[in-house]
Amino acid sequence: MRTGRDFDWVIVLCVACLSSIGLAVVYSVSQSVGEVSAVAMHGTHFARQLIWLGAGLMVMLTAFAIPFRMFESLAFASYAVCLIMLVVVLMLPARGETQRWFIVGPLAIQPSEFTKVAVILVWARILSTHRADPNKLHTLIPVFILFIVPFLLVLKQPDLGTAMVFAGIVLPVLFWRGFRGLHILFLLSPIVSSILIIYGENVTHNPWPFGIFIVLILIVAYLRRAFLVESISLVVANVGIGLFLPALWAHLKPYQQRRVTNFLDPDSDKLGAGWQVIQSKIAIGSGGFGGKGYLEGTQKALEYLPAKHTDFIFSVLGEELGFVGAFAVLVLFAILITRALMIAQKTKSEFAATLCVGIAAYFAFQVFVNIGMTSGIAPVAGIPLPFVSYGGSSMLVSCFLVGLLLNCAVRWGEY
Amino acid sequence: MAKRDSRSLADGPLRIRTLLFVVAVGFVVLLVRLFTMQVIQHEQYAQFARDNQLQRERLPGPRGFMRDRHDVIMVDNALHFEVVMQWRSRNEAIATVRELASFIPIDTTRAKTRFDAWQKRYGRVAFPLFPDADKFVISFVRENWKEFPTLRVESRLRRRYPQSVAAHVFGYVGEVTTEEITSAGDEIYVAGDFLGKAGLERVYEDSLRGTPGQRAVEVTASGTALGEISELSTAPISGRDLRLALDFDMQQYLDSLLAVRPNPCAAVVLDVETGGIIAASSRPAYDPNAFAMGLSASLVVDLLKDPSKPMFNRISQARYAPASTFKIIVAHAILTNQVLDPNRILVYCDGTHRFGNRIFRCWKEEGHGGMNLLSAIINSCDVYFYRVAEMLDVDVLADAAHQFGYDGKTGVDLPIEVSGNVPTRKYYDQRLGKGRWTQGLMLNNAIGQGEYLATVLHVARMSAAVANGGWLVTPHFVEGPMNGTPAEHPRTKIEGLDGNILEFLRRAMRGVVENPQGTAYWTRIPWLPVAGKTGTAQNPHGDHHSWYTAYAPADHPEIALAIIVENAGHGGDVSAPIAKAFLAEYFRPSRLHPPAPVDSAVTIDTPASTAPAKKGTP
Repeated sequence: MRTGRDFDWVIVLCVACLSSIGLAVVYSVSQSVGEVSAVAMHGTHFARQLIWLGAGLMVMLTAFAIPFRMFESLAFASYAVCLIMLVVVLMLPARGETQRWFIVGPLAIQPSEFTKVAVILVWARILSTHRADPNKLHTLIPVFILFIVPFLLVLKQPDLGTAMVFAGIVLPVLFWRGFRGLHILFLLSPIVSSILIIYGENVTHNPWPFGIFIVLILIVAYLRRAFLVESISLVVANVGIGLFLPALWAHLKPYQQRRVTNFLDPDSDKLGAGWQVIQSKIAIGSGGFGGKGYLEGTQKALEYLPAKHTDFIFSVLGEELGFVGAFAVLVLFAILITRALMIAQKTKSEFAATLCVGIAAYFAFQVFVNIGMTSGIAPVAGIPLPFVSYGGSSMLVSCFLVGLLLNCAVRWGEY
Repeated sequence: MAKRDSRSLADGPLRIRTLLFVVAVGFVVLLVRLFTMQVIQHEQYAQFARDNQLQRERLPGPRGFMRDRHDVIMVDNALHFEVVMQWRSRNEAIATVRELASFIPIDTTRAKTRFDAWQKRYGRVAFPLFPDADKFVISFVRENWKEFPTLRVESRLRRRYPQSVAAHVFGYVGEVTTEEITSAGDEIYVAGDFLGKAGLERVYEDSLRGTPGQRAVEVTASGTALGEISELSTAPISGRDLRLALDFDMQQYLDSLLAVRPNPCAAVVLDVETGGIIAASSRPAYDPNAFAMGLSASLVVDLLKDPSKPMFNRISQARYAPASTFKIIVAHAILTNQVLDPNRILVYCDGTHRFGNRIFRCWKEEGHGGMNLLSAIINSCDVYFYRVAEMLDVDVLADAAHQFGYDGKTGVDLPIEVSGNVPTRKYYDQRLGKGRWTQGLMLNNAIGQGEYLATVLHVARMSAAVANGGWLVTPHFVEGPMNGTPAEHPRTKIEGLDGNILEFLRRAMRGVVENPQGTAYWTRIPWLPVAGKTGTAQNPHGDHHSWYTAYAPADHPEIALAIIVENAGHGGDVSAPIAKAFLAEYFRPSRLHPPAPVDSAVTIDTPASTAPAKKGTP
């Protein structure tokens, strides 16, 4: 079935464009004031990113060349390896406040990035079997266990952002495999309720959004023709959270409360967590429609942007290339994700289809959270922008996943 | 391997469409957000970005100096040094302080409290760790800049009163308040600026205030300065220097004369022609430098709690019954309105005067004998004036007092001045009711004891008017800007105070000092003709206040003065000798005409601390 006609050139083109833009922006960042000392130590980020891209291309080629059935059989093995790495990294001495990396010579490897691939593989594998039914506990329980173990290990690092990526992947995958919308509501609504309550009590001092949300749940349950028992338990669960969360909240220590409110409302801590977001918004907003011009970003040049070559690289992009550049990046990602979902629909293999949905979910979640965070509508989480942010682990994982997409596209007729 | 089951196949496209829809919604949200920030709100963010990279350092404009009439510097600015700490987080700042504490003695708890207050008020502005750094701290910081890169030494100007005199006159400067910032408008002040809070510092704030400059520096987020942007930088401009009418030597001498009195007292010396104040003193006083650093709370409490009220400026804020000094104005009223013949022996003073069923007493119990207007002034005979009061209309006297400005403020250039008081018919009608008061009130008024009130400025100005030919001058400390045209100080003519009347009053005041019967005869100066008038203000709360006003030389008047010493007794006993000492020093020939300096070039650049060359008659 392998024909040149089935090779997805559009995806390759998208990836090529995104990586080029990423390289260009990383180069621009390396021109700014604070980079001089870093260059002396490791060479520029640009040169290193170029090497990572080369390595990524090889990984992509590998993921493309090996039939996806092989990956299906390797799913659990890779998952086990990743779990071991996550445990080991926690036992290593901490680097700063977090334990996220293995340091191997000049390389810093982030096992949680690779775990993202492993969870997609294992979920695709167990959800694509005959007996799998996401609405039944015999399927849900293994999926949940496979989710919660890496989730907790990554949370321990602590890296809430990456842990949330697992949740962001598992839900669309479950949905694709036939998970009922009402069940998704069951899973999501308590989270939304909690956020609305904490946000309403501590930031906006306005309880109405929570009330409106409860009414919305009722309407959705009615429209979905939910059973009475389901509707009642849904409302009871959310109202229960509304009653008990404030009491629980009062038991938290002030610094714990602050950590949560800073996450939800960075403006409350202008010099700490909020500093990044405020400066990032200034960078993007000041870029304007056409940008300040490549290499001309002042926010970037004068060191106002923290993590500007990694998680906040979109701020530099927005500053120097403006709305036009940001729009282009968004369109490229939109094409990539749409293509992934189209492959999922086309492919005949249940495993490949689920895999493609997982990969689409991965890219969508990373893009939403990363750009949302830099533009101030999503909380700050250490999530890189695929292909654009500087970073080896992220680049290899993204390339590998795209390789798998191409693999599935070419072998669409295989089982 | 796994086969696709029929259920999934059936609604697979729907689920893909749902996922695509969710993704599309997400992208639309991001696009709308980015469009809002980058296109709609672009200008606002662009301004933030510009503000971000530019650090505008305000360079305060130095305040103008004040110099006395002989160029002696009375107020200037002293350079002092402070050590400031650039900081990014509270923990980092506290850590630096702790580390520093092992080298330099610092009260870390106090430093922390000050830091928190500073952070709350000014945010990320560099914190003045040592607001008044001594040589040791400065040299330590300069030598150890590598270990403590966040510390730097900054120089600042602080207001200084090198002569330490006349605190009430100069006032003080203090940190601008929020209300003052808003009421000044047009961003004249920013938080942390100093402005005149009292005295001349306050009245002449607009002249003295310097125009701030700015140094625009491009900075990185960590505060590293990359370089100055000269197009956006401007140099500060100094405020205007002011020329005072004050004579520092005489000011110091007057202070020393009053300082020996334990009682509160006030004195003012005017140039009779211009109204320029040559010396003015209010006791008890305080050191004007006490407020140079801004108010220190404990010091203010001490000054405010002090029962002798050292902060109270008795020159322009304390009003007293003018007592017998007022007889000059009564005489003016009699003469201009031709109430009686001044040469007539009006009364035979036996020490008492009966009005209705009340007995009014003369200050001299045994009486003065036969009195006409001239001898009544010379002897300060109260009985004569009681008799006059019976014939004198309330409003006639009030009009004369109005002519001498006793019903208003003198217009002196101090921020707080009380007006005198002049009771009119209307005044009594309002206070006591129409027809419910009698001419008896006038008896006390005629000897300056009733409802009439005046400050030393009013009284000194009265003498000046007699001395200068009937002109009511405006007392003032500041003549105008240095090297500029002097400011206008208006003076008005007193109706009727000329010709024979003026001659008569001059003769009377001169008689007070030169006539052996005069109440100030014993304070006469053999080589200097002086004209004066004593006064003894009866004080219901204690001993009499002692008044004296004079001008000299009596034949060619130059200066006029008024002195009050509270609770000291008769004017002739206490205040007149002070005036004698002052006048004797002021007109001392060797002071007015010092021997010519050997090398005249020396006088050109006289430092402030050394005595300046005198320039003849002021």
